[in-house]
Amino acid sequence: MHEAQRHEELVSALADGQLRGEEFARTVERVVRDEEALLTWHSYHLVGDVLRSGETIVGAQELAFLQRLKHGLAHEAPQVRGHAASDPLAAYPQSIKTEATKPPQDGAANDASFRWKVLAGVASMVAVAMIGWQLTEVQQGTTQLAQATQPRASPPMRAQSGPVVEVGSELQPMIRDPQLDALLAAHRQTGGNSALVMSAGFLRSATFEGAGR
Amino acid sequence: MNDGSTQPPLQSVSRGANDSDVMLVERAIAGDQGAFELLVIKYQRRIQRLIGRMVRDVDLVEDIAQETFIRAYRALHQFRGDAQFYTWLYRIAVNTAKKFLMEFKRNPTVSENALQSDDAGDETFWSGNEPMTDDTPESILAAKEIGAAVNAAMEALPEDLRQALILREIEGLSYEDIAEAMDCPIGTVRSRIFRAREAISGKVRPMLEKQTGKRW
Repeated sequence: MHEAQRHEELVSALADGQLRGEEFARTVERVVRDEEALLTWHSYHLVGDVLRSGETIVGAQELAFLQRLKHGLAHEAPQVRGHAASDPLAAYPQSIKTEATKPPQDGAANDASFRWKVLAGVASMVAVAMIGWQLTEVQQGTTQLAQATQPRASPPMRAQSGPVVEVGSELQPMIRDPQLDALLAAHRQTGGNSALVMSAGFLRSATFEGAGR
Repeated sequence: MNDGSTQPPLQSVSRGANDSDVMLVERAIAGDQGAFELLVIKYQRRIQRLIGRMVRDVDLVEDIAQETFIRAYRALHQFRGDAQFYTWLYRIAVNTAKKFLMEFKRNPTVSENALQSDDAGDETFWSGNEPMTDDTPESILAAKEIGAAVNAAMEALPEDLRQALILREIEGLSYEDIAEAMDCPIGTVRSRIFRAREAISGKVRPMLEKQTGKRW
């Protein structure tokens, strides 16, 4: 057998995965370096594809495809196994042009929808934060109002209190003094209402001028 | 020649072929880009055929195939060899095609099964009516001529060579299984397959060179 034929038989065996060790390495080296061996590799696989599929896509574009890919791979380097994971759906190379091949973004096939989901999530969080902030504001306002109206809300001080008395300094005027109201209420319980609002003269007149007397 | 319906399942491909792919991947990871190019030559047509079933725009088929192989090259270290290399490559191709379809707002065309299936074994071969890359009259004619040449050369082969090649390429048997089926040594199987390939390749090569206009 001629040397060339022996080499091509090795290429055939390589195509079938039958070579190992040094024989594998030598044959791969030859196919990679030798155009004739590369054409042999190509034609063997083409024949196999045709036999399996009936027809195949062939033609000048196969060479152009490989040349274009080589150009793209020139800027690439495969990751060493064990390195940080490199997404197989990673960035699109700049070498591949045209509008149809506009470089896509990094990430998986559903990245577009994923980004929309992230955007929607952020918008939802912002909306919740706004609502929460507004609720806090309202609650603070309510608290201040309650503090401002707390004396009036005190039942024992409001119910039967006497005339409104303004107590306080010039800086902090108060409409009513709850402490004073409490004192007045206590005094009313012990002294009776008349002691606060009726004059002693009237009491005396009622006593002495009554019809039953 | 068989059609797509009789295409052997990928599982029937001998383990040796995948082992060879794994070794080529190892070499590529070690820095031998040429080893990866051998894998490209081996699987380029199947990948383009697969993408051609998913994308109506034939101009996109080659671009998607390019990106598929570039992404595969970047991620070679992730290929563990647990599955067949083509199965791994198939998933990258499908994901890449889906991404293109989403980005360019193009509708998947021929078969939704191609988009939905994650099983590389479900790949169906080109029916001939579906849009393909380089789907020009010249390329169609070239494909038909090459197909006819392969079939004619196959028919002209001696029976033992034809049988060995059919068992290998169509049935996907290993050399050991073919040797047992044909009751001959493994070395004879290897020689028969090689001679059959050479006979057919001798008819195909001039057509390839005519198509390319120059040698590799």
